[in-house]
Amino acid sequence: MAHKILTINPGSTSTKIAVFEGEEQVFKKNLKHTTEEVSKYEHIADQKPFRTEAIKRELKEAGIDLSEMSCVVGRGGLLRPLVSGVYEVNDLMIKDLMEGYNGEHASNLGGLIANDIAKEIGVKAYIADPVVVDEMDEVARYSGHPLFPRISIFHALNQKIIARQLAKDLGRKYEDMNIIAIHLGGGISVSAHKKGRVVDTNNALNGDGPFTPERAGSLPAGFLVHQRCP
Amino acid sequence: MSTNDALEVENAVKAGNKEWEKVYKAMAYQVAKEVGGLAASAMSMDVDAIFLTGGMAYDKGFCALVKSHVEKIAPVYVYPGEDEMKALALNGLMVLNGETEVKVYE
Repeated sequence: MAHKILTINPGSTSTKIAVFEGEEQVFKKNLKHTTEEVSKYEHIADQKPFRTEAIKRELKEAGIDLSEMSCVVGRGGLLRPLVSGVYEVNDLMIKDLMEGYNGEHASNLGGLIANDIAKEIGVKAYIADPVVVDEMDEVARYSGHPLFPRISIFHALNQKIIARQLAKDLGRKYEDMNIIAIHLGGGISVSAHKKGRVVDTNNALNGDGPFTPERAGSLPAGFLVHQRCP
Repeated sequence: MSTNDALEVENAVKAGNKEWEKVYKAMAYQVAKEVGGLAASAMSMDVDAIFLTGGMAYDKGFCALVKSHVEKIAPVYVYPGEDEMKALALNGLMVLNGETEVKVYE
């Protein structure tokens, strides 16, 4: 029988959950939370109990037996920069997610909620490819000013999974290929996957690269500093 | 432009909005410039494949524009959309099937 997997992806005012049997999605729900509900808490991490209960209630109503899950996978949060991959939730990760090591963000709840549910049913909790995936070569980190090194923030989760899919479709191994990935979303990330490592990427969140429907991308620094917009 | 909705831009360009078409082409040009930059720097022009993904990759016209700039570097593939839930599940599945090693966060 195919493995059953529960996935959890918390956003600012909703929590997406889905259950998969093997590669097939058999249940999906976007649990909406009111602003009053989430604004009651000083820190995002404090929302863990009520979101966890909402998930358990929803699954129960849908007749899904949690004890059938082989593992729980949560969206990774603003952790320490790390190499791409699947990470088991451990004590240090829980501490970093609770404290918001690299900032507070709803996605920090992914690993925390996954861990609580997984513990209850006696399976492992994982996170995979958070936005802080950093495999950049040293040479790519230089900018023209020491105060502003170039940093790696990109659509790691989607880029990595599609790059693996492409390699598979071509009958090759991701780790043996040189692939340039273009993620076209509200932000655009263009990244060099060199033999399985993203050695360079534009900073898709708050920095350089192409302009997008939502973001300005690279701007001429001189004009920007002096606000001499021509 | 007065919108952040890529679909609205796509439809306006299709309907013949010349001003927006210029911006649309410039955006494709900048994406291609980024690809070319990485191809030359990070890859020393040794590129096996280029792919487009994400919500805007459903826009065939935009993908065609980018492709026209970069297809001489390497073959271009399109995987439109983004399914984070499936991506999370596939990562879990890779672990359960023993296809990847679980890493330790430290």
